[in-house]
Amino acid sequence: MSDRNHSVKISTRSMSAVANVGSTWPECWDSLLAGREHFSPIQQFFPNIPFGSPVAGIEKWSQGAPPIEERARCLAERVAAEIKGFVDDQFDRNPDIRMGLIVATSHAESGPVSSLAKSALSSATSNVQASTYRSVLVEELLPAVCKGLGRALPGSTIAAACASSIVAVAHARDQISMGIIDACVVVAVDALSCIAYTGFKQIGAMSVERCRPFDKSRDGTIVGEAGVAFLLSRAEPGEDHICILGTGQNCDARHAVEPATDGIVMAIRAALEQAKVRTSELLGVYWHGSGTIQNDAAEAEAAAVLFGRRSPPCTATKGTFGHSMGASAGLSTLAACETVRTGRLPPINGLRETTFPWLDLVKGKPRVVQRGPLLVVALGFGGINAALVVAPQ
Amino acid sequence: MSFFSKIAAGPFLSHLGCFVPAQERPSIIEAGEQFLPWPLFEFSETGIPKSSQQFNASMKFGDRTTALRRMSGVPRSRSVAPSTIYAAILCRRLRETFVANDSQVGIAVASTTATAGIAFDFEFRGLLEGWELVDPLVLPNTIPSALATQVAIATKAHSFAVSFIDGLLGFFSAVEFASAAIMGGRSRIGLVLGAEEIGPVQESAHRALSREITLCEGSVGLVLTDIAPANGGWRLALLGKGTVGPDSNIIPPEWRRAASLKILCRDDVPALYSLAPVFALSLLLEKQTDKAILYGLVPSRGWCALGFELE
Repeated sequence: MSDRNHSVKISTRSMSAVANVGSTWPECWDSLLAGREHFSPIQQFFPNIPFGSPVAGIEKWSQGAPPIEERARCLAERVAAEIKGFVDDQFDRNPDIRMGLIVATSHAESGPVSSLAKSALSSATSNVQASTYRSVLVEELLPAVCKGLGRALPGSTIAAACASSIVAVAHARDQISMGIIDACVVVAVDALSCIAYTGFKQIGAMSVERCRPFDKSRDGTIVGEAGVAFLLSRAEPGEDHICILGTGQNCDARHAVEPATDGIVMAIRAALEQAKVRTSELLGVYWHGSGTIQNDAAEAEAAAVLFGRRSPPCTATKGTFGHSMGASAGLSTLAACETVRTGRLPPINGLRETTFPWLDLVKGKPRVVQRGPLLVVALGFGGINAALVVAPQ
Repeated sequence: MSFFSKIAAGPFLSHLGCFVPAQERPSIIEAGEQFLPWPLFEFSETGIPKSSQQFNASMKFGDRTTALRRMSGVPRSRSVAPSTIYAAILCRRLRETFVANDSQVGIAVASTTATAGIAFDFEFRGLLEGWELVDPLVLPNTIPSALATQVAIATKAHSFAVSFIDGLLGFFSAVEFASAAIMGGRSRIGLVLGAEEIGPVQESAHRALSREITLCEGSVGLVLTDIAPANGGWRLALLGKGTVGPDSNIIPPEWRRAASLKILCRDDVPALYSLAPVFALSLLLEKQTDKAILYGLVPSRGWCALGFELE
């Protein structure tokens, strides 16, 4: 296994999230362990969307629920504000720290274009605010994160579809490993939008009931939203940190929306190779597990190629969180860090019976696992496959 | 916060390219040469780019839609954004400048305008005519990463496919991403592109915001490689970034006499400026020098720098 003392790490004290089942990461983690879900009607926000997984309590935020034109940036600002104190501490300890920022997103802020479309339909474009037009031409997630952090950081906004979070972690890890920066704030965010819901529905990827990853009767995913934030750094050993041992990514470029088994296998092998971890050493896997027929089958086939007749314990988070697109693998990454820290692997919410007997799926209640290397997998439209390996120090 | 970081064993810059709808085919040059006769941007002493007269007179996408889509090699090209078409046309030509296994070639694209038009059309038509009548494969093209993945499909590049939003600074980030992938040994070639488009939505936004920059669309690109050119070449050796500045005091001493060029995005809407860096690089690297730094500045956001060394 690679040298963990010198590896890039996530500080567990820096982990922050908002999702459908929690306004903080500890609430989200507890819900994941308990198998809670919260899929609800959201027509108050989106008249065309019967249900989804909106962020918990968003309608009760101090300013009221954010307008759809600002929904993603509000989520980003909120999770960034949660880790402000931790980031401030890093600068207090080392004022010369070279800290970067990466925002990971699949859709970015899609609300402004949505508003323009509605206005055009009602021939009311003269009523469109300048700020809405501005959002068409300006990336506003980065400034929102900086506002939440209360400080400006040099950053970039990465879009790698639903694999964005892992691609962002990989890039942050690269930059830190190569000495380009010392630390990096990663914020992953995507918000509910009309285009995300209708788009998933159009390609037959939406469930009519609930998201059941790897279940025999799975019929699709539930579109959701979330914000995730954490800090990566080359921290000193002995602190409360989880190592990012390796990452892998590729674009198999086979199909616009369907996954390919060999691409998934290659991304996982690349991550394991960089981590210097053998498949037999993995103590658990967080799959992308979107709950669609094709996704779960492709991942199960990849598992058969990599692990043979019996996989390590496997889980997926979308049965609880829904599919928060670019933020979804961020939630899985935080969950993997918690598993490394606590030795508990959460169950797959919604799983009743599977057709993949070679997968050791965690069902019903959390599984106690040893503290060791875990794999996190994410897949994105366009054939993007990404994987990372986390492990204790 | 501002800093420079020296890069050990950075990738070589081998070729630069550009494509605008009026061209029959993309213009490709070797690093150190000048684009002729297509300088899309001219740079004043202050670093503020402006579109050249030649470019202002150029045709736009609508004039040659079918021909351009066919040139691109993008499957189901009627479902993708014009900027994707521009990027794919250029990238296929850049792909011809080297020989490498498909799994060793990655794509990093910067664009801010690529998704607005296609996302608007998708939603407008869905609301107007009913969602069941909208082409379902438009959806995957409404997300920013589609620009990179569609180009990856068209050019058989399977190492990585990532998009960066944020105009000018996004292009610098794309260079940084591709360079890190090459230095990390996960890729041998990085094709870094900038692609922008002007359709009714972007044009309306520009008009509403009374922006000064001349509207322009097309694609630019460069090839980063771990293969040293036979007679030496330009190699990435310095990265810089910050939120204010850059302050000349933080430039490493051995780089203080380097030739430099600053692209200043004077207004705070940097969308179309992702096309500028490649033209600036072609000007900068032609100078008689062995070190050159290209800066991109958006005063409201920060700055980035790429330092190249002649080896």
